[in-house]
Amino acid sequence: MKRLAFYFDSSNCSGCKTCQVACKDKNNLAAGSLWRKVYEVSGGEWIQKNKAWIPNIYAYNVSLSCNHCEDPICLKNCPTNAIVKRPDGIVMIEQHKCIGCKYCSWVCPYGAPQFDEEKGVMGKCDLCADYIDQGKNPTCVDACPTRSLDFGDYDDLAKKYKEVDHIYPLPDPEITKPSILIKPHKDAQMAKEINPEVANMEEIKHA
Amino acid sequence: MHKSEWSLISFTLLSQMSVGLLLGLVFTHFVHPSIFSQLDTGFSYRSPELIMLSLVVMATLISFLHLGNPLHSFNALNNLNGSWISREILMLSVFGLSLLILFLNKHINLPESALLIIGGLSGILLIFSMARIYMIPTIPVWNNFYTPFSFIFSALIFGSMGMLSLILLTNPNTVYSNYIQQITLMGMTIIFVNLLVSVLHFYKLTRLEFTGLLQLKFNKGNYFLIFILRMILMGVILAGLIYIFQQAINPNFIIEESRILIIIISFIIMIEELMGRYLFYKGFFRLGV
Repeated sequence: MKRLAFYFDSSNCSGCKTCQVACKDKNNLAAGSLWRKVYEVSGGEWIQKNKAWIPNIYAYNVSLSCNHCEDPICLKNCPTNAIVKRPDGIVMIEQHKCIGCKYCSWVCPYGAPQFDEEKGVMGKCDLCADYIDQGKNPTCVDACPTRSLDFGDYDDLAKKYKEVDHIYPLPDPEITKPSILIKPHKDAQMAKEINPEVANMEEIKHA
Repeated sequence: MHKSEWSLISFTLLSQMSVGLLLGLVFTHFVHPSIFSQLDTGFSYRSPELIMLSLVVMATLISFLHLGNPLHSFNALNNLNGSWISREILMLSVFGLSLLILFLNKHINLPESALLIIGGLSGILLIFSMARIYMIPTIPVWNNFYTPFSFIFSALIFGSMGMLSLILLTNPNTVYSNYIQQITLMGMTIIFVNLLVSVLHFYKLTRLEFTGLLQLKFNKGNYFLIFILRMILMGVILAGLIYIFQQAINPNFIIEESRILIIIISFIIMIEELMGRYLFYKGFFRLGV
């Protein structure tokens, strides 16, 4: 069975959010709904060196959508079996079955499934399955001006990039085994140590 | 809190109220059959069967308000293999059906004891499935012993007070000293243990490690204030129940003497349980983003 996955180069991402907008445009999402979100992580502090105060700060971006996990917690818990996994590993929501109980949005540690107020059902990134079926790339991958996003089979990506699957603010990958590889920004190490925070919570929290 | 959570608060409390009342009836049926036989049946506002059925119907109707697309709700039983929501809906259906049969039983004449046992078991399984829905590894506030504990204790305290209220409605001037002692003792025990465990759980919440982006501060603000108020109300309920228990030691005690106190305690229990469930949903935060 194939396992389609995203690759994200956090060290190269400028945080322009073109991926976020391209996704929103392609999927015609309502205001407040984002299937791909860019988290602006920053932190740090001033440190005293002799008589001077020096900034010891950092900032990086994490672009995140559904990770089409190998062990999707949303799929296991959906009461209607509306969440299905295709043979290529894409986790999709069949909206004609969904009752809009929002349970999948409670359980997903990546906040991927989101409620569509207009339709009364859940929606999320389907890796642009229609484009993939036509041999095209997902729209976010093509839209990224810095080429920080890529997609493909997980094993192929792992050979090509040899990167990690976990940086702040992502949860422990053991929970759902996400199909994502991330090249960490050089400052991601600092986020483990010095008061990290997501600076644009207002922008993404309702999404 | 999102408006849809109010429907969940109402659904869980009403269905637990119904289960609690049935468990109270099971106790009365097997331990005090003479009192059970005096209770009303059929279309009477004092009939426990009608009250339980009404509660469960109300709970079911309210649960639809939580759904974004109730027209698809026939799909809700699709995942009995893996989803506790599907199992909860199944158990709710079984429980509701057993209450309906119990309500119609004077026309059907099935063995009442068997019906009460089936109803009681399906009610317990309903509460268990309900609790399991919230025990999710990505939501640490809910994924612990307190979730099933608080759900079953809500049912039991509603059941205890429900039985006292039923006696008050049915035969307020008959002497049931022993029965009232047992019911109030059960209520006192539930409230006392609940109080201790709630404090312990709250202490654990305040020590949870920061694991989510939108994690609540439990020892500050409205959450803390409502928690403290709830604990005070529990203390008041406990004092009221101790007073009734002491009164009921008198072999000639009739419940009519404590009418006002029982009404006040029942009202406080409603508020306390509403606060508890509000805090339960308010505490939601998820691991990750």
